Amino acid sequence: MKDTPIPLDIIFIDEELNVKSVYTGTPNSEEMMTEQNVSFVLELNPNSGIEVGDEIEFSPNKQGRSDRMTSLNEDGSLRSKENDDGKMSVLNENGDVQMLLEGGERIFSRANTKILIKFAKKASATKKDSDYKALGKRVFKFLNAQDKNEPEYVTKK
Amino acid sequence: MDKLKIKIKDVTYNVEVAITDEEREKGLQGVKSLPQNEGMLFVFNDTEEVSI
Repeated sequence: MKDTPIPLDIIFIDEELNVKSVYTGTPNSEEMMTEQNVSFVLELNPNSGIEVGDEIEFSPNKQGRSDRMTSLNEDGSLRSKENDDGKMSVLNENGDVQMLLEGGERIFSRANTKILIKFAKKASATKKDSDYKALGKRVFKFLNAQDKNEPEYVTKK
Repeated sequence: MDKLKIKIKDVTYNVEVAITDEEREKGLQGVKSLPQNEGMLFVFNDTEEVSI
């Protein structure tokens, strides 16, 4: 609570997303609160009414999308990984690093990637302007869909 | 800093997520008031002893 001028409820949360303990922090206090086996700490306005044993749920929401990868697993748990070098990464189903994120990445679905490869192959074979244009049009279409946040990118098909 | 919605006992909170050492160190220092149902969630990489 150092340099924090307002009182806060300090809620320690374990791996299973259960509340382990709740403290009320005194403004600008140098006193530290310590707890074992903690995965998350939540700070809220005081008198939050949150008690030991309460369960935390992560609600999947569109605002959760951001340049830096902090996404949710299907069970609602937080899915993010910070490597030793401080870089954020996308993980595959096994929790292994699939790619590193710098910020601002675009992600194509496998289905869209197949379509792009098809158009790219055709353009590469014919060398026709019209085929290159068709490829470019598809790329822009997929990028626009991401910018406009169409359902394809926020719900599971 | 990223924002995330979390739910406890049917109340939804819109919280900032502090993940990096820097973000966790800064926390809510200097914050003069917190809107209702907003706060900060500190994420620790490993389950560990935590001092706040």
